[in-house]
Amino acid sequence: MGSTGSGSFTDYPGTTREKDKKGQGPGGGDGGGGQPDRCDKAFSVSLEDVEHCDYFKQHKDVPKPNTQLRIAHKKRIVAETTSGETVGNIPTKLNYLAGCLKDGYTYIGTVRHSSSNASGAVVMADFAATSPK
Amino acid sequence: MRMAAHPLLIGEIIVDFTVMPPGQEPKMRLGGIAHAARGFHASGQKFSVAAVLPQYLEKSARAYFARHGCEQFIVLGYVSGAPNVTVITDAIELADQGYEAILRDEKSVVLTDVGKDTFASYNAGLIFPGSYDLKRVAEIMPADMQFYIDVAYDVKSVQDLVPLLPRIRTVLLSTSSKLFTESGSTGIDELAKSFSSLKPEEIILKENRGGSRVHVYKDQKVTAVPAQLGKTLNSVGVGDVFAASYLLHREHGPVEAAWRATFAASAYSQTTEPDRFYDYVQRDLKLSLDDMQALGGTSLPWEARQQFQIYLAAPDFKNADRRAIERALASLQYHNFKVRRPIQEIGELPLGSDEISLRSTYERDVELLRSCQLVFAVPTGRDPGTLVEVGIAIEAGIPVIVYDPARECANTMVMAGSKCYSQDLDECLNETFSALSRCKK
Repeated sequence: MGSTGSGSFTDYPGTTREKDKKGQGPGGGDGGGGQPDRCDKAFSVSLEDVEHCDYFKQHKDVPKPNTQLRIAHKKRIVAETTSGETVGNIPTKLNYLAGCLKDGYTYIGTVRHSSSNASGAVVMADFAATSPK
Repeated sequence: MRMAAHPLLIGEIIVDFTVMPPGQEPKMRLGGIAHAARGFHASGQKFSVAAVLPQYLEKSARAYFARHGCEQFIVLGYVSGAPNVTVITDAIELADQGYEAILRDEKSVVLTDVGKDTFASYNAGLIFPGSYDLKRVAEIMPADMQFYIDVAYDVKSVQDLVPLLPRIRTVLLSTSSKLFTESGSTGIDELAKSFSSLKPEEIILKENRGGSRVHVYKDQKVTAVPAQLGKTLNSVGVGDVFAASYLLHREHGPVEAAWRATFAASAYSQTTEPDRFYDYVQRDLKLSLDDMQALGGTSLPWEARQQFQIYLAAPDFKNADRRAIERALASLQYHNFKVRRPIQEIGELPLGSDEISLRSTYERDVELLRSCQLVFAVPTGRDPGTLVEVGIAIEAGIPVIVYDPARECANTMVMAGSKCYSQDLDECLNETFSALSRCKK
């Protein structure tokens, strides 16, 4: 977080890239290399608005566990099946993924839990990032 | 003919020193106008500065700013009597950040004799007022310079800004500033009225995790721009980055400028590494205005927060361990939420109370809970009453946020039934904003 300690200012542009190049990635501790790129992070998420999305409307059900999903930028950031049916919206706290997707990142994941009953439809999924580099 | 197409950043350079919990190293970085400078740098924008700073900082500040794309570093004044160091105890603004400016009562500023000619080529200035003479600065800036002024600190009244007339284009104000409390805390309309004598084109109210609103005077139109909430690493200076980004994109209109500023500010809150911040901003710049607007976010205007009632489910008793409860309360109240405290409002029954008293209190508590839009639970000590309240709320379909710093209730029913279960107050606060923002819609 900025410069660690109070010896000098070390959070200069270029320091993180130097550390990245040298393989001193997250955990470096001082001004550079300590914070992973948010686009590289894997994430677990509970999808939103599942009942209003294509998949549920088409199948009257939720996708089963282990179904493969990917992240796409439609109007919202969504999770969709490999055939392009939207399963649910990604919470807005992950809106930064829009920039990551524009930059060439891809996100593939699987359904870890799903259920549909009187209290609603639930789909929880895990995703991992693939960097464009 | 003017040469400088880049903006001039005007204000103090400070050292931000963040005190961390025991066992962790403190964090230090340049603050004051350095935050906005990082915002310009991340957008790929060259800039110049007219800085007020203590002499001991000049060499390192010059080097630091140069590395961030600063073309001209002009010393506007020197600080003496104080080191210009701010000690920060809450870097993520869960509640009042507790800024402590060391030796502030001994501080004085002597402006240098830099003349008008030095600034003749600049036509846009981003001003952060400080302990320097704003009137003198107004005198030496070009007569047709357009000012964007962030009045979060060191402005006591609207009258302090009169010397900048008629050059103020945009006023930016934060809900965390004292000036907001004094001039417009009942709403954006009142705020706009308070600043109308300055004749700005627009006024922007930055509402922390609830987003921001832009009031354009010409058509009296107010546009709400939602916050982009994520895991906050450090929120110090995010408002300054907002202001810098807003200035850069103002040529595309106030609404697009505010959206881009919101994305840049969010990125700044999620990293303190300049390279990461640069990458985040550059990626977001690839999004169109339509893209950003369709993504949505969290919008909860300051005054609208009072329309929602949050039920505090917690052992809110006099003799309980109150540390986590007090943290949560301070945070919710700082953000202007209306917290209903059943134990305070309805009463704390003594041990051995009769059945009628118990029944009556239970019914009144449940009635209050059902009238609230959200339940914020702090189940310190696995308090059984709190857990029953959580269950009632889940069954009633009222969103439940559980702040459990010691993970005492990491139980299937509590975790899976709640909208949010976390040890992290930042996450709980974000989810509170998010849930009530959805409730508003």
